[in-house]
Amino acid sequence: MWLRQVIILVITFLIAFLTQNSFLGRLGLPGSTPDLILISVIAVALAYGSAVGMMYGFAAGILVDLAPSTEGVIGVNALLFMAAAYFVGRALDPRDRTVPLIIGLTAGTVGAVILARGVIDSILGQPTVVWGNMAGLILSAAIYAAFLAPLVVMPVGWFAQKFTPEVAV
Amino acid sequence: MFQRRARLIIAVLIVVSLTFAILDLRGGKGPFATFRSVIGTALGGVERGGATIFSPVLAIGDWWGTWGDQRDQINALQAENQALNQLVRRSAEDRARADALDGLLKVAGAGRYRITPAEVIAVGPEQEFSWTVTIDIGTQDGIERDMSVINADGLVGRVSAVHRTTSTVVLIVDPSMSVGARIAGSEEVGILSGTGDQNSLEFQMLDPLANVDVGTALVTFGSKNGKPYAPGIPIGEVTEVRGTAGQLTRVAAIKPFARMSALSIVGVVVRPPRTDPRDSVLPARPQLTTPDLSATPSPSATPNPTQSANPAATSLGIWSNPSPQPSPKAS
Repeated sequence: MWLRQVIILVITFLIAFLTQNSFLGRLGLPGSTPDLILISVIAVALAYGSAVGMMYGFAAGILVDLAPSTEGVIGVNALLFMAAAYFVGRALDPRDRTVPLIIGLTAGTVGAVILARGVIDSILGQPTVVWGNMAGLILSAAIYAAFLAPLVVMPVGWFAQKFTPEVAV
Repeated sequence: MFQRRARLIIAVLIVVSLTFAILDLRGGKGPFATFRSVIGTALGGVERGGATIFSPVLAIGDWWGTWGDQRDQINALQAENQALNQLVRRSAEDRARADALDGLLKVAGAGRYRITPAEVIAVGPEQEFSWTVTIDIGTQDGIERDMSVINADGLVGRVSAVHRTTSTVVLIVDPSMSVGARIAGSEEVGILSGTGDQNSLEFQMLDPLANVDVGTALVTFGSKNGKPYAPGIPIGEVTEVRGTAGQLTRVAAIKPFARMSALSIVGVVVRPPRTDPRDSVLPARPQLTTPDLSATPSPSATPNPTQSANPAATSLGIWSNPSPQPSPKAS
């Protein structure tokens, strides 16, 4: 059970990471890059609950911070993803998970995380935050997240139910 | 809410995250340099694999992303292409006109004709059974009735009506037209009549015994004061002789040099040469029996009348080179 859950999470992360960095990032879409990894964190939090979601968020955040082509402070994404997982896991009752709710929750969470990342980076003295673009970034990221949410949350939930029914929420 | 263990783990993870952030913020290479490079290498490899997988899909993405730009570019290039095409077409047309004018000037120079160039601006309807064209010069350019009209190839017709800025030209193929013509290289004369067929005029020789060969050229005989026809203008060549020598009517079919269906630049002979240029205007061609009438006359040549007219001719101003220029290849 443990192993299967870990395998599912690793595969989820790899797919999300690959798709985001190698595909979505290179599409050149206007505004922000669709944050597929964050959406996968949300999906895991919805599938397994806040605790597992936070652990997954920590691992994903650390890896994203360490991965090539990101230059952030190590740990910031980990904290943000953990916060997102905590919030999402607590916010939705497992019994009323409808698609519109999931879409709204995901879009809102993604937007909030981008805003929080900007704030934290500014506080930490990172010079890369351009506040003039922030509104566009949040809006575009939220729109992309709204589109991607059902595509990620549903399969992850389905796999969790299918292979690890004992721990799935 | 959380189990004890989960709570503990999460607390540890938060602390670890914060520690990482603080350590990383201290700058320098820090304790993460090795860690970062190891993870970077591993995930970099994953990213490279992903790039290979997604490249075909991304090609579509690139197309999508640059679609608008490319459409604009295509529009701009199409417009530019159109403009350039137009330019090319126009320049080809200009060159053709320049060539036509050039040929006209050569003919005029060779025959000492003083011409006024004109452009055909309208062609009479064929269903009227008359072959006429309208040219863009008239009385204000000094055009009068019955002046000869030529182009670079030869005789075209004569002016039949003159208006202020335009004139009507009856082409030699018109069935009502008769032109006094002479066989080049001889004194044989006859009457050339239009037939309505632009490739075949009728030439009736006055001397039924005269010897005419296919391919021989015809020039105008000339009228008093050069009207209606100035002398020496090439008309066409014999393509067929009907009737044997001695028959009462002996008729030759003549193909005019000038293409009547494709007239554009023509010249109106406003002043004929003082002396008959004889055959010197004819283009040099091998089958022609005409002797070369250039500065070195062969023994059989008729005396070149243009040479005596040179001083007067140069004063007319349209040509500066006093000697006609038949090709040296002509026999």
